[in-house]
Amino acid sequence: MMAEKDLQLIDGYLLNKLSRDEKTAFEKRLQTEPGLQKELQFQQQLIEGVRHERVMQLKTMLNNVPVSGSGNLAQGMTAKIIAGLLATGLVASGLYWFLSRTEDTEIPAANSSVKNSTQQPISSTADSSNNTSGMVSPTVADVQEDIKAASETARSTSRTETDGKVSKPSAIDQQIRVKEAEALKVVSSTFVTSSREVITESTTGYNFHYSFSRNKLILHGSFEPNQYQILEFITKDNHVYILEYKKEYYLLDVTVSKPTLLSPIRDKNLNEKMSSLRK
Amino acid sequence: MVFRTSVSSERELFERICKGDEKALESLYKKYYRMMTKMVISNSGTEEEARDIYQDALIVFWQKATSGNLVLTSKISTYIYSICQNLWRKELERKKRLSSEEKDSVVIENNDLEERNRIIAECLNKLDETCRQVLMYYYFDELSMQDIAEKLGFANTDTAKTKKYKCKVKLDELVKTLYSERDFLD
Repeated sequence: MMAEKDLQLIDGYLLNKLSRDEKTAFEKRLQTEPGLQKELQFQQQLIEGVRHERVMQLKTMLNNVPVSGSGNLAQGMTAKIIAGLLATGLVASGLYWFLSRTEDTEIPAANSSVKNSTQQPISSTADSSNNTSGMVSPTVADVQEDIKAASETARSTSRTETDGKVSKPSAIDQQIRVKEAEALKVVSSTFVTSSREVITESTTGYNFHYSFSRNKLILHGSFEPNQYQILEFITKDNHVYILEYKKEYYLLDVTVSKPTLLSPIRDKNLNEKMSSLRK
Repeated sequence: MVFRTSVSSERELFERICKGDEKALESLYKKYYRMMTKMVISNSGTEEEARDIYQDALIVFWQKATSGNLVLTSKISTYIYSICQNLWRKELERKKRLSSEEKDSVVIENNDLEERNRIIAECLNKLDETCRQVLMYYYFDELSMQDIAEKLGFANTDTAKTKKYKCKVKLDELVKTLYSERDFLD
């Protein structure tokens, strides 16, 4: 092992902290001492590696800072639209509640024929007050119809998706199984928190997707900061990347360049292995 | 009056950054995000590239400030803007070059560097948090031992120096072991 004094000299040389005389003397030694030269090269790589990690750390920190760029403008717009819809919904509900209350209070006082007669002018727009009711009632009914239709659609969609998953194990499923089995062979206790930069992108229109671009992992959608970590398992001929997010594990494919849905690892053994490693 | 306030707040922000205050860096990042990314986007860059370039520029600025190698003679924004311009110009040139025949050799070179950095990252991860930060503050931020001691709560600069030395020796050992395990020694 190199002497402490020499290590400090190498440090000073690489950080440009030596005086001119010290530097000249050190460079002279380098010409005649191959061991020192080799150590200098090693220390240089080490410092570069440490610097690289710090850059990654700072970039990750900056990526978690909310900014008011164009992406966030889009988010702002979305927020405004949602707020607008909520407000409209609130007004509609208010009116519906108000009208229901009016009807409720009217019903006990009136018999069924009176009720029918009050409803008649609504459609025939007989007087101004009923006319107002006539405009609102269909809207409320429409909204209710829309909600009903939407929930039906949602139910049928989810049914179709579930059916698809259960009844047809596709070729993709097979591929996933093979990949997870391969990953299980690689996954061991030697892992490293990956130095790959991670960017969260909430404006691409995808939710809970990922892709790789220019050596960076892009997580599409809303991911809670500090909840995700990329674990990298390295063997001589293979690299396995696993995303840990909220105690769930997702196998990543570095060749994926288009946003791809993140799906939790299904292989029971791989999941158990990951859980035991991360305890 | 307004000018005075803005100058003094800019000065204060700069001084905080020189001391390695990461919260100040975050404020700066937010403050000029739009201005800097707009430059890249309006020069045929994507939003992602723009953010990347801006972050790189800001980190260059940060490193120069924390290491005491920056005497600011202009506004912070002017300085960062010029770094952004330079970095984006270089990136455009790199892209152009990559479309030519040099591509393959560059990839091999990068793979080697990536592998090395991966090994070092793995070893850094095996150190405790304080060790990792001491080494990063010393070798990247190039903060003074006084600033490192203050940031990490060491009693004095001597304690910081000893800690840095011990952490470095530990990292050396770990990396050398992994290098030889993976036949990575030259």
